[in-house]
Amino acid sequence: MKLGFGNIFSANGKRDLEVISKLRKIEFFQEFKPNELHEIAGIVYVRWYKKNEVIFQEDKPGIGMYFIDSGSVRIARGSLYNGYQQLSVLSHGDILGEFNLFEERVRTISAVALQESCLLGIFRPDLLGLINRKPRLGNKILLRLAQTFSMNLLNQREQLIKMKETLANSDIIL
Amino acid sequence: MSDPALYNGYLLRNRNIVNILLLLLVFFVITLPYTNFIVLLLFLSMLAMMLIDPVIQWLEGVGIGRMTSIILLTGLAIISSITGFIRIFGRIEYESATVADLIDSTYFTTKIKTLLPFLQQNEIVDHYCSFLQFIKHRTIDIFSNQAPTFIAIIIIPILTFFLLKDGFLLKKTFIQSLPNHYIEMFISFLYRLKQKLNVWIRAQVLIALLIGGLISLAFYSLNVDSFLLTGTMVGLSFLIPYYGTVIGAMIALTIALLQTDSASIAIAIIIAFATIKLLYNLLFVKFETNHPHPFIVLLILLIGIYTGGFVGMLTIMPIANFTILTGEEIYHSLKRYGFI
Repeated sequence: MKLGFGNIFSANGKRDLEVISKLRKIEFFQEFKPNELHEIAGIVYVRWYKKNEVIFQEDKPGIGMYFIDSGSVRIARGSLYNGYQQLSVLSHGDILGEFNLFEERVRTISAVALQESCLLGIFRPDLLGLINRKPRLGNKILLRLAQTFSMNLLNQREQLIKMKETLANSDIIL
Repeated sequence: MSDPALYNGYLLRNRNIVNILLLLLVFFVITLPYTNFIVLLLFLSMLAMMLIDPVIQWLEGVGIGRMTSIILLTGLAIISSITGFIRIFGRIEYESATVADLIDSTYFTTKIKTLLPFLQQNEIVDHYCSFLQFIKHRTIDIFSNQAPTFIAIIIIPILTFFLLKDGFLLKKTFIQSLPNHYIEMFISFLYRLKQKLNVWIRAQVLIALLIGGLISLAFYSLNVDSFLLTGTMVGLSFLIPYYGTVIGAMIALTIALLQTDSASIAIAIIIAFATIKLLYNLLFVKFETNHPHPFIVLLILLIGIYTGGFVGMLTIMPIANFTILTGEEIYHSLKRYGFI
């Protein structure tokens, strides 16, 4: 005989397996072991967004980061209603809102789903809890984030150098 | 990029959620007289969970599994409930009955007037006795029909066990059901509230235990029969802002005068309370939250006395402070995220 609780827990176990399979497909989590992915799945929120639905908005506080599982997301600056400046379009495996994982502060960009999208959210309080409970795993996640940040920084530096070179070769006077 | 229809959808959902929450609140208030025992059990279990959870997190941090830690600590709590609490509660129940008998008889006024002769011709002692009788009857009225204590002793550890084991899961399941627009605000709200409540609850428990323990010890050494009851009541009275020390001193003075044969004990108690208040101000003032206005505190206290007698008077302030902290955090979260 199964009690109500049993059903709730078994359903959740199934959901965790689904989250783990989604996590496995994302590059960020490639180096994590199955038991570590199981722990991480516990703090991941799977969120579905409709086309044009706002994921987060510029000038509003934020507390977490998202991984794109499916669909695509437009990153933009400026008002949602009076025009905006598109910065990039992100798709499967990309990360958005990562700076807010370290501090709850106002977002500097907006993110809007370009089509029906599935995002995996990790939020600061849950990550802090995980770091408290499993310091090794917490450190591994933080190290992985640092690697991602440094990669992004290197890419942006290269872009900046290229832009400087282009500007230097052009007729524009700085 | 903008989609006004979608935005209107948010507003509509906003309004619906607020309406549902208000309806739930009204339902909760209406059913409270019938469900107060269950609410109390839940409240105490959550309190226990908030006190035990940091220990479990620490045990997890040093490599002991969460389930093992929960079973270990809940087992300890159950054993201490059965062995320690039943004895302590039994003793407090006995002491309460003794003090209640003394308040009801003419012994009270005679004894006080004998010990304090300057009050012989004054009616204040009779009025004070009537006031105490009123509070006592309110206490008995409210708590006479409650389920027995042993139900609480069995239920609270079970509820605490499940809250510790599945609290995060329940929270996550609830958050998953929220619309996308509210998820970050709600997680932030819960985190901030938990941080605040953790500090506040630990400080309150520490204050009540320290003050209560000191008073119990002092009264035990002075051979006052109801030393545990006095310690418990005075410990809880120190959680009442502005009036706590005076209420605690009145309780201690009344019980001490009723159960000893020396008026000089009154001076000792007044000096002891002045010293404790001084120490309290030095040690604990940093833990104090923004208290409501003294008038509001008085009003809350009167509601407590009217609804729950002595128990109501001593427990309504922590409950009110808990509610105020939660309300403040809800307001700040809604404001921070631009909902109001």
